[in-house]
Amino acid sequence: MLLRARGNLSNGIKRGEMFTDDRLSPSTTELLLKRGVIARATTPPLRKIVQLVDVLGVLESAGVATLEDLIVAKAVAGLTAAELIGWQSVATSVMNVEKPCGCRRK
Amino acid sequence: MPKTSDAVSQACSKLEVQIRCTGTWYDVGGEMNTVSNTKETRDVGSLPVFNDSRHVTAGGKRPPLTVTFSGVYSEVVTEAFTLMMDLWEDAGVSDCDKQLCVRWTPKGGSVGDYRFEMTDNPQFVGFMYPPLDAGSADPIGFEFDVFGYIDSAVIVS
Repeated sequence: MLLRARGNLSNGIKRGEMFTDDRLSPSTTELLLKRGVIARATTPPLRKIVQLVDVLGVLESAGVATLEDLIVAKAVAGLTAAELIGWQSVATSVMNVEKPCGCRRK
Repeated sequence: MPKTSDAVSQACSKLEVQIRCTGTWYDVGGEMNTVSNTKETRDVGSLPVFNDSRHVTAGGKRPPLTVTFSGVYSEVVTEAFTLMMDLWEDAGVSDCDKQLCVRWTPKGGSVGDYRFEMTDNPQFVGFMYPPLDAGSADPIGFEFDVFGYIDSAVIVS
């Protein structure tokens, strides 16, 4: 499950950051979802992500349709483990757009 | 909107300190009883101009603030007064680097609770040796001050 933090978490996850549910225990995930501290992340279809165009065919053939599917995948047919980790890293960076510090005007 | 059912008592909070911001977090809830912080604010400024009755205003940064922690004087080496006095008097610690991390959780420190922590190089800037009053039957109190910022986080483990 892909989640987004609505506030800072004590394990270092910052407000707005996206993360997979293996960063929290199941009971903590359930509690924080209930309290609204974290929320299920909604992710766009892979076709919308230009950074993934080179691997789109492989992913779609393997049934990977959204960024969440890619980020939480343990294995994808047609990709080695190292390749999968690399593309998951790309997918995560797409979702975790760096938040401006608000310290200067654009 | 209905009135909140989530009000939090001040009396059962948790307060912890970490000497020099490294190593063990000491739960000093058995000695401490007050966290006195002021509002965090932003710098703002203004200048008048000739053609208008109002100033031109501008906004700025958020300066750090000083938080005062109060508690009960005791002489146990792992309790708050001695921990603070040792750090305050420690000649081995540079005066330029007397860091003191402090965090407190209003609801007591369970998973899901908000925790507030002094961050961004928090500095130990004030320490009160035990004051005395022959007319008082109260335990002796003491205080210490930390200069820095406060950040929030939700406890997850």
